[in-house]
Amino acid sequence: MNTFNDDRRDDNDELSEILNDLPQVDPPPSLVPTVMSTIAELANAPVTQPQVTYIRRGSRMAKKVLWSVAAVAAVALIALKVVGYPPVEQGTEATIGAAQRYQESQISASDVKVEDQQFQAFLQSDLFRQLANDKAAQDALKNQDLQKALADASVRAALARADIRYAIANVRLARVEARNDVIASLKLDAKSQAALEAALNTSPALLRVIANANIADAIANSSLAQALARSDAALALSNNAVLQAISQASFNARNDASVNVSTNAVSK
Amino acid sequence: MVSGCRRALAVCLASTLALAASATDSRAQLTSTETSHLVLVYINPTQTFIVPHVGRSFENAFAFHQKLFDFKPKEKIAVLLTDFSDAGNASADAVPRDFVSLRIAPMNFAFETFTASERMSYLMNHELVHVVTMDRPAPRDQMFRDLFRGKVAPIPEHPESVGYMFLTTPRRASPRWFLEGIAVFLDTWMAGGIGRAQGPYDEMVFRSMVIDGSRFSDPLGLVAELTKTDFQVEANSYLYGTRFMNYLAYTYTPQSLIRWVTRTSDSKAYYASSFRQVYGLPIEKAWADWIAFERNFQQKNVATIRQYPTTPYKDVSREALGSLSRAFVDPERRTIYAGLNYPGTVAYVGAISMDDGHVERLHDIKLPRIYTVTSVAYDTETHTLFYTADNTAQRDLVALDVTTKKQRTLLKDARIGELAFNRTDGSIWGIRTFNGICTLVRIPQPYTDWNAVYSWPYGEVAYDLDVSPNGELVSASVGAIDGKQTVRVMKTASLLLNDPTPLKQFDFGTAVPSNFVFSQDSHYLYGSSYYTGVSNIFRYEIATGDTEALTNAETGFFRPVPLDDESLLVFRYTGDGFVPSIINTRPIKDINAITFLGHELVEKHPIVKQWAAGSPGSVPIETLITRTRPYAPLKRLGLESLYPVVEGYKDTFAIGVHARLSDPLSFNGATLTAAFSPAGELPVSERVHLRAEYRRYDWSAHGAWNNGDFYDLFGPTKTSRRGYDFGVAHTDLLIFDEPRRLTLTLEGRVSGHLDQLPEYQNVSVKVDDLFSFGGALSYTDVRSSLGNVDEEKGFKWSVTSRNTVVASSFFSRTHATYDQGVALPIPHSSIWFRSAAGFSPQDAAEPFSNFYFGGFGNNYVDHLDEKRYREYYALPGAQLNEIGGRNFAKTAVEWNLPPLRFARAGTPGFYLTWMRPAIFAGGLVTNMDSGQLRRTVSHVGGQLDFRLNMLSMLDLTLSVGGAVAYERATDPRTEAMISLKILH
Repeated sequence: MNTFNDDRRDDNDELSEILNDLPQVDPPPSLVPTVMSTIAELANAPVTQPQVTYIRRGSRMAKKVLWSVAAVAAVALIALKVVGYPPVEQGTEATIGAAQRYQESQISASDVKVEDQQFQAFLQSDLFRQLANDKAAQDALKNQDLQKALADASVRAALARADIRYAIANVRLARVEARNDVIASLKLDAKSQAALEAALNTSPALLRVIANANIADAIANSSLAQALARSDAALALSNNAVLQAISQASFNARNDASVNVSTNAVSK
Repeated sequence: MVSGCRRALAVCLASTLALAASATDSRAQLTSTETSHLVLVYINPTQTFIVPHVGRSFENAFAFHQKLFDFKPKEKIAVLLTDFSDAGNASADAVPRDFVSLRIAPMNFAFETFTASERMSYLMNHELVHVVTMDRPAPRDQMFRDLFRGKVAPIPEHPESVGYMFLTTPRRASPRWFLEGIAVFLDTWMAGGIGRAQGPYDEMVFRSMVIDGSRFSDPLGLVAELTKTDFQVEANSYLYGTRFMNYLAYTYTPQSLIRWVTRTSDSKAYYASSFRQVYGLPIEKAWADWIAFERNFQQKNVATIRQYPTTPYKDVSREALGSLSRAFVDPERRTIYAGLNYPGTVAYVGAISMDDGHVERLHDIKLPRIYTVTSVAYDTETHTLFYTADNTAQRDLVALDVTTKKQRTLLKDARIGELAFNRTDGSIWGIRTFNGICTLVRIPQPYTDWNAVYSWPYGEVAYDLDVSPNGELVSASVGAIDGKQTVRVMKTASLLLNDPTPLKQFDFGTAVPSNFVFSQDSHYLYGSSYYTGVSNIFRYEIATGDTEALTNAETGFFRPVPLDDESLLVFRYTGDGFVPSIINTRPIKDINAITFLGHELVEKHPIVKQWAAGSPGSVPIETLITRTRPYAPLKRLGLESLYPVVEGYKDTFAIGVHARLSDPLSFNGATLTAAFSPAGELPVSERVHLRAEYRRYDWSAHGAWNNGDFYDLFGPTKTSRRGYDFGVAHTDLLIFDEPRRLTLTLEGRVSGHLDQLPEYQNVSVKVDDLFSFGGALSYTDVRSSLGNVDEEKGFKWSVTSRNTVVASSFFSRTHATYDQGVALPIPHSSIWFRSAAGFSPQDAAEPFSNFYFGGFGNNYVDHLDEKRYREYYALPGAQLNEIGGRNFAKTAVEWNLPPLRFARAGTPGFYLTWMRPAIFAGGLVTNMDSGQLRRTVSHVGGQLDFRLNMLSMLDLTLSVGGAVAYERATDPRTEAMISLKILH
């Protein structure tokens, strides 16, 4: 990742303060290419001498040189501080300067605590929008029995199975029959039959749902089927807040549709 | 943002109420959560997730203001959350109650006109400054609040309320620049320096003025002219206000600024008087000092920029085009397509010739935004321009064939913007805004539906989307909660698998990366940034991450569009707006940074560092919440204010008292007025005048006895009536798609003991009992340009039926109107054709079956529409109600001439803004089916309207008019009219 320099300044850092007080002096633009080309030339030059030369008893001599260089450097630095060097010419103050702004952000991501992110994620989903635009699904979701049934995990597990949804929609029951008769009439395979049995055992409301032709049809043939196929979405549909949000979005969608027609009618 | 823009607030509230009205259907509920300082109203369940955070942000900001201003309001501050617009914003008021309205959608970072960290925190910091500066009372103000049982809102029906408002809330009478200036100044330091007090856009505006040698507005010119005629309109209040506050804080001290804006026991009531008290000089002198300082400050910055060669450019258009959207270039047609918005012309999608700069108008844009205008994408193969309408509401996706200029709405209220076209599969990508959350969406052909691709968590705001020409990459800028901004490059294929992991990410700190777009070969991203303090164009090589600066601008370059390997189309900022220009793409090495006045301020006065509000995260909101319950406006009705009034009744004078009740959000309201005529020759039975009203957004009811009216004191029109009158009315917005509205109104009334017709004062009747009912269906779709003083184009129609039962007889009257307006090439000038026709099946001899016409209809002092001559019943030149008929046809043509603007007429407390001339001519025929009764009248006239402003917030209109009416066999009749309309 690249970092576009943050223009904030650490005001508690004394070293930073001192450094900031120094004049901003960048090397002349020609410096880098000059140095680099010199290095390149040296690298290409034939080696005529050994790169490492061992000098006996050279340590004392080296110390003297070191102290001398240090003294000269100190004098030079003082002189630099006083008179400034290298002399700054027009156009050599900076390359791309960052503007200075004092900024200390007061808030971070951990300071923003919002609730029920899953609900919000569902509101943003395609499925939510499809449900909001699907009258059959909404009519079904208004049914108290279906709401009660969806609160049960075994019901959600059963309705997640496509063959159960298909069977419920396609086997018309004349009335609310006995539980075992219903199961038998749906002619499911063993696994699905077991899942449905479990659901009917824990949620008697499901029996009334199955007997309602409109709801049964919506369970298999509307966007409700897609929601039931996903356990997280089916769980969301048992949440009253989600049902309210769908209903609210549905109202808005109906309004939008009618306005859209009139908008295109007058658009020139 | 203070609620100077009342219309926007009203629309916001109306929308909220429309949703509340559907509560039965949607089961959504307006709910309130309260603390000891706050009543937070929101829609449950969709907005519930954000309530604790909004509560924390409020309490955090409130605690700060309590400390800084010693602010202890006697009422809870009502905050309303709405999500009826894709543009985040807020407004605040302190009259009649402390109220903040928050739009929870993300804010717009365009041109870095807005910089902030998390928006709820920012908005609370900002809006509560407004509440404090307007509401904080001195002991004298509090005494009047106690006397009038509250803060008095100025209302047109009782203009005495203007004086009472000043007595109870004097700082409400302050100019917008004052209110916004201090709010921006403080919100910046409350956010630790992130805000417009250190904003680069603001630096650019004033730097450009120095470069261009433009005139700086003085306080009067700012409010009277600049905020009405400039392409940035009211944004100038923020620009000038913030800059002036910065100057004062820098030159004097930040503490002096707080002393000035705080209403205390020893402070002067009027903001300007208080200024002189604190600083020892008039505002105008300090303002002139600031301008001199500003010129010097900016000249130094300009000199710094010019130390290196500045980037040459070649302008495409000959003049600045105001605000411009993102642009697209059709290389074959050598045409630039973009949305344009500038004063004098209704915003439109235009085609700009790259050869001669000629701008062709393609189609009007419904509800443009101030800086970005609209969001645009372009399909070069089909020559289809996709753009967004309703940009300040919930956005629609529209497809415009730029060849035929035909357009159709693809998705209504889809709330999708930041459009980008994927030329490899023809899909459109965009950012959808819903419930405060940004979602990346893909709209496949045929663009009838969309798919959610990825939703960012609340607080992260995605903007400036682009799709690479090879379709493999998607780029977006993303603002984080802490204010840090990044540009992210993501793989299209990964995104479609719900994986938003960036392939590359470029970090910008708190500087906003603007409009980064891919190069034709998909290898680079071009965009702009204020990295150096000036908006320059930068280029990123995606593979290596290498960065190169391409420009050294004096003002600022924006919205780059790569044309070829050597040139870019950019928008260059000028004082009149943006100019499309072409620059070379040669990288440059040397750019100097400029100095920010805000940064100089913090260096000189580090106390502003201590004005940081801190994080709302630590506020224990759970323990502060006292209760949560459904918000029932009727149950919350309480006394708002109670004050003495005067009224006119026929030709007498009456004194009385007026009481107002409302709920904290003013969704419901009730009034009661009782008055007595002490003198005159009135019989005792007519000396008492009573009126009670109740209204909510869709229902209203009234009851009156010998109804009086303030404006009857000033004739010639009289609306006071003897007798009793009870009525109920219902209004239904069948289409609410601003500026389009289809409204149905139904009403019924029972009246009695009348001696005049309820609608026509000069028609005497003796009626003991009268029952009337009727309805009106009206449609309006009219538009105007920036800086307008009137409607400039469009049409409207209405059909009205009024039916009366009197003395067992039934009378019915129906009439219709149709108005069509055409904008002229002259800015703010238009021609309108107005027509009306009506009939009654009953006998022409019966007063109740007649329509009556005549006169301008304005009172000397008035509160109704000053352009009364446009009403179907007006006929300037003739006497009021002089011409009657059981059927009629009427037509008129009206030319609205360009207004004259005044920059220096008056003082900042009372000034003339504009003069609006209009001339008209028309004709009327009544009783067309009867040769004996038929009357044919023509007339010609004109009217001048002078708009005045008093105390910064009260608009007045002085109108003068004259007309001549002609009728066969009679002499021409003349009429002169003069009228002062109070409040708007």
